[in-house]
Amino acid sequence: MNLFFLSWKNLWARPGSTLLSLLLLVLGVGLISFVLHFSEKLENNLIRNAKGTDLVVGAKGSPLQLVLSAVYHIDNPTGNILLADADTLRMHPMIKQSLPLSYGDSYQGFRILGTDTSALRWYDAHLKAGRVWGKSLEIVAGASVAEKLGLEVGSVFFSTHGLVSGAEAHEDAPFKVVGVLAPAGNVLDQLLLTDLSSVWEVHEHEHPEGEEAPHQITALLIRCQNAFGILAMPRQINENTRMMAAVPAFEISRLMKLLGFGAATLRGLAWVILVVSAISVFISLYTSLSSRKYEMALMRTMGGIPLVLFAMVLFEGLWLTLTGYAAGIFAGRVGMIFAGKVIDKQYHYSFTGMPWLKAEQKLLALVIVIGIVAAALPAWQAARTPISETLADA
Amino acid sequence: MLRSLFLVVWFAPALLFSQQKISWDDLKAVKYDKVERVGPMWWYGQASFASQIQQLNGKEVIIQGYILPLDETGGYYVLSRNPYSTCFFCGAAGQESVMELKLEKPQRYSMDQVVTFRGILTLDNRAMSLNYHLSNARQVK
Repeated sequence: MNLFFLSWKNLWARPGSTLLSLLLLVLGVGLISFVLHFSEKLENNLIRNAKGTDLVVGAKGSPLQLVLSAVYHIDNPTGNILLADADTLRMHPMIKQSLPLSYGDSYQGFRILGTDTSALRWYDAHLKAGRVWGKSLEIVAGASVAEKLGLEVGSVFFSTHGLVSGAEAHEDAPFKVVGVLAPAGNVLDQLLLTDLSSVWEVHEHEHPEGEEAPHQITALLIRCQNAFGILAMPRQINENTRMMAAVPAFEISRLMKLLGFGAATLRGLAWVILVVSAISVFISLYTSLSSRKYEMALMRTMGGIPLVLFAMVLFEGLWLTLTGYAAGIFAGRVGMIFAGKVIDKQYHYSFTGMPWLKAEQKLLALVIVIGIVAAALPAWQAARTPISETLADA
Repeated sequence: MLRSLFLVVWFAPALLFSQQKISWDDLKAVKYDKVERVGPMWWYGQASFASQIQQLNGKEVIIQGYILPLDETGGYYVLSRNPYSTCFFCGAAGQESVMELKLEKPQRYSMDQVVTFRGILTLDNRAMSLNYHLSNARQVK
């Protein structure tokens, strides 16, 4: 029986305190790993989808809500703006590129986004099958919607008013899928794209006969020529028009700062748990010494030098912390899978893929140090087990 | 004689490679007279800088301000005299209270972080462009 195996056996000879130490380690490591992965995924999604959108213009309201609804499609729109107002704004010389959006309807919980065909270029998306829409009520489905709802070229469906599934359906205006997108790695994957006019057509019957309502859109995404545009245009728009402009980069930076406090609190808690687990490892090893002193003295008489006893107890500490680390990393991933399921269901964002993060590798080094430090004193004690006195007592 | 020579030698490098610590007040004297009309509801004034500001053109300066992130991953930031809530974009402050940063090395900063930068100041009086640009910008601890 070698020393590694002996240490492992020794640990499980006192399952209670070993399990307690392990549990604390799993909690601490798992929490840290979960927070790391979650904030990384969140930040990635937030930044990736805002990339290239300098400004969002919409109805006056909360700027954050406007960004969350028009850029991320997870919140309700702030209202509508007049197409005529948006068209005037689009001629602004500071604008490099702009994209009108109209949303508010959905199918099975997935949003239908009315826009023009330049959306594919804006989001760097490509067709996998079919063609882009040519007239109203034609749909190009994002990759993950098509997969989840089983939509393909030729499918027909009715939209529902509002953004939740199960609401009142617009049964007089069937949508027809004419194209499916290849995965774009951004928000387009979870959207059903159609022409702006589809949204007007679907809602036309809501107005009294003969009364031509002015066309409206929900928001306008803008790419500016330079930094001056990003800073100056919102002020001009907010002061001179009925519309509101928001800068996604600012709103996201503020949002991440707020979320950062939550993440920092959880991380702080995890560190406290790790410190407690280190103490628990130390106490567990130290208290075991007195009940094991006879066998250790015996090991000495059988020819074991003090170093062997020292190593044995040190290995016990390392076994504990390494097992705890492995189980904690595993637990963090299980947590992420569950959180990812909830987020996918709620917001249709994918939170999958979990590499072994650099911070987790650093955590491994730290956990090894914790194991060594916590086991050092008990191991030193074990190495100094006096043979004759201990055995004389026996 | 020897002493004054010593002084010249001692301070010459400092004069040659001057990195002037400036404040936003030094950059305040900008007039926007020549108003340019572009489009139905948009107009811009063209900047004319006071002579003490013109002297700073092309010089290495050190300046402190608040960060406004325009694209965090791309390392695209603006340095502002005021924090977000009262900056040029939302408050009453003028165009001369912000400066475009061209970072020497991409780095991440967050909104409203107070940072001191060293870099080459360039003036820009074109309409529809920021007036101040700081190139080769690097953080001063």
